[in-house]
Amino acid sequence: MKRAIHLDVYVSGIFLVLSVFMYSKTFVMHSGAALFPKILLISLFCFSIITFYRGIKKSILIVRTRNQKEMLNHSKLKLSLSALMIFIIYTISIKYLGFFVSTTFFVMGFMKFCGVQNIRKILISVIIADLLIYALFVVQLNIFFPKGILF
Amino acid sequence: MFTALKMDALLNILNNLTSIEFLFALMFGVIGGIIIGALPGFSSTMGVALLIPITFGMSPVAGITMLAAIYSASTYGGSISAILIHTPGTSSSVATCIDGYQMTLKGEGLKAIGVSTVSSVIGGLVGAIALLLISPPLAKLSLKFSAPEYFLLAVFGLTIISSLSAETIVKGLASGVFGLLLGMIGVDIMTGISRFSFGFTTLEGGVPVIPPMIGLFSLSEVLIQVEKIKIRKEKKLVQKYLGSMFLSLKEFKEILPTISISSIIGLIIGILPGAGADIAAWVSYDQAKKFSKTPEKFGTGYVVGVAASEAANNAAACGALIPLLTLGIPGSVTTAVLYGGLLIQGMRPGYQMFTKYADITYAIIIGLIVANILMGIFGLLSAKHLSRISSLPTGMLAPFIVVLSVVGTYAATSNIFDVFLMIFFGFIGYFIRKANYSNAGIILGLILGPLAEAGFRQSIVMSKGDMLGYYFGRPICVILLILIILSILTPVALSYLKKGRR
Repeated sequence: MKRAIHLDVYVSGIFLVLSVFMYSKTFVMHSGAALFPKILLISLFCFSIITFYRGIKKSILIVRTRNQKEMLNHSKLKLSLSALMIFIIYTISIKYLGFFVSTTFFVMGFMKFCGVQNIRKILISVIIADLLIYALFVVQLNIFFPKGILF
Repeated sequence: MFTALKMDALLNILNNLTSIEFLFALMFGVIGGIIIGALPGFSSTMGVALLIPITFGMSPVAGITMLAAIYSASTYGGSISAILIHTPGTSSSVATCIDGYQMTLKGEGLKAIGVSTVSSVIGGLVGAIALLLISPPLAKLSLKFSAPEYFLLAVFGLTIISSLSAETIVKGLASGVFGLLLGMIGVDIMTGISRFSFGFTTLEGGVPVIPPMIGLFSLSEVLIQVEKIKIRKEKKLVQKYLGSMFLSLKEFKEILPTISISSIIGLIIGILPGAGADIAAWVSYDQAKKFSKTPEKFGTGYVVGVAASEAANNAAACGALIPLLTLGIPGSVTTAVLYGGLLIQGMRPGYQMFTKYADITYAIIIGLIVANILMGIFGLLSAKHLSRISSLPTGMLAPFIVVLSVVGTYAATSNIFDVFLMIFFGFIGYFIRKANYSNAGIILGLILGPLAEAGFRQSIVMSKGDMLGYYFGRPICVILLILIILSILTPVALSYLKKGRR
């Protein structure tokens, strides 16, 4: 194990950058409006410094003990990020294909992604999802979803 | 209590309780709650966050009762999968696994469900009745609150939730501060200046509560469940559940003292901000074992073990609503999300809940009492079938949760930008949870941000330069400051004690 960085280092690092960046934005604000955010940003910076330091200590410990559990698992991360990409594509497609068409494709595709192979189960799930949302949100709550190029 | 209510308010409560919308919401909340609770990996918090958008088109009574019913019923629902497939549906039913599953292995799974149902119903009823009786006098305390107290109350709420739901108090506080910062986005009401909106006109009005709530609790949950697709093994179902669900009089007499004591323990723990239903279940289980004449029976499939944890966790769930409704302090992570649901319906916790909105609040509490009874009936009727739902693979459930997350977010404003915002918060929530920060702290910070800032800035003006002297001159402020310090120091002291023992 050559390099191991604990997740705390990444997250607290992002918080550190964010707190410095946002603090710089408070300089152009009215002093009254900037006061509370400034206090919060200084607090976030201090908390993140502590977590960052602890994260580095944990990273060193991972290398020493070869504890894989504490590390960020890249294959798991890949699965979750792929799922996230599917969600983004689904949301973009709602605008162009319409809500119900996109939802139909999404449910089928995401079930396949999650390892469901049974076509009958997939079709039943699609029908239930579309009907449930139509009955509850369109008929009952009068919410109109984007229609897109199809319907 | 009711003498303080006017006749027209009583009629309003009755009207609310008999409306078709209310009854539908109640049924939906109870059935939905039991199902969500029975699904391993999906928490009651996620259920409440996911279904808040459905309450938009409802009256406050129907909407809030539905959310409270989901909360209470999912706490019970968690016991079904804990007993039948040895997988707790919620964190509060982990203690139930010990004796519940042993009973299933002995062929008494249905009896265990019966015990869990009776105990949960009684525990829930004790909590809901306490909510009805304790809340109005406690809410009077909020009349003595002014800007400094509201500021400290917001800080106290944040420290409590942060210490409860994060790995360390520092991470919890960082989460709360991050949430408060999100609450600063948009136009500052006092000066009219736009803060941190980075050119997005949709953010000028502030970050809406719904997208972060659904993103942090529901979408991040799906992302975490997706990780486990490759490693998840199907839970083996015990194919035949033998025996009867109903208890004999002798059995009922055996568990009744435990149910009574555990309900009171659960209620007290639930009222204490910071200690949730899971702690209540463990403490009650431990107490029942310590004071039992037959402690050796615990862990071998003993009805009293199931009764202790289940009565306590449901009493705690209802008890956690007391500090929320009266003072605006969420007693648990789910009540932090429920706080958002209340604000969306235009209701701010405090004395007004029992004066101006008395007809709504009392109807909600009575609704919760009815929900607990219905929970028992539905639980007994459906437990056998719910064991099959509990073993549904993630692949079947995840698409539904994502679609509901998208629909729920879109339904709030009919703006697709909010859906992207929800996905963004889902992404943040995934890493926040993996790094053991507190997503509940972020949400509570977002909700309390404007209140905390207004309280802070007003108290600066009121203190005329001597802020410390001003705060220390107010008794409630002093009590709140002590509580804040205690809530920060207690987890630190406990972790040092644990290290010392090792």
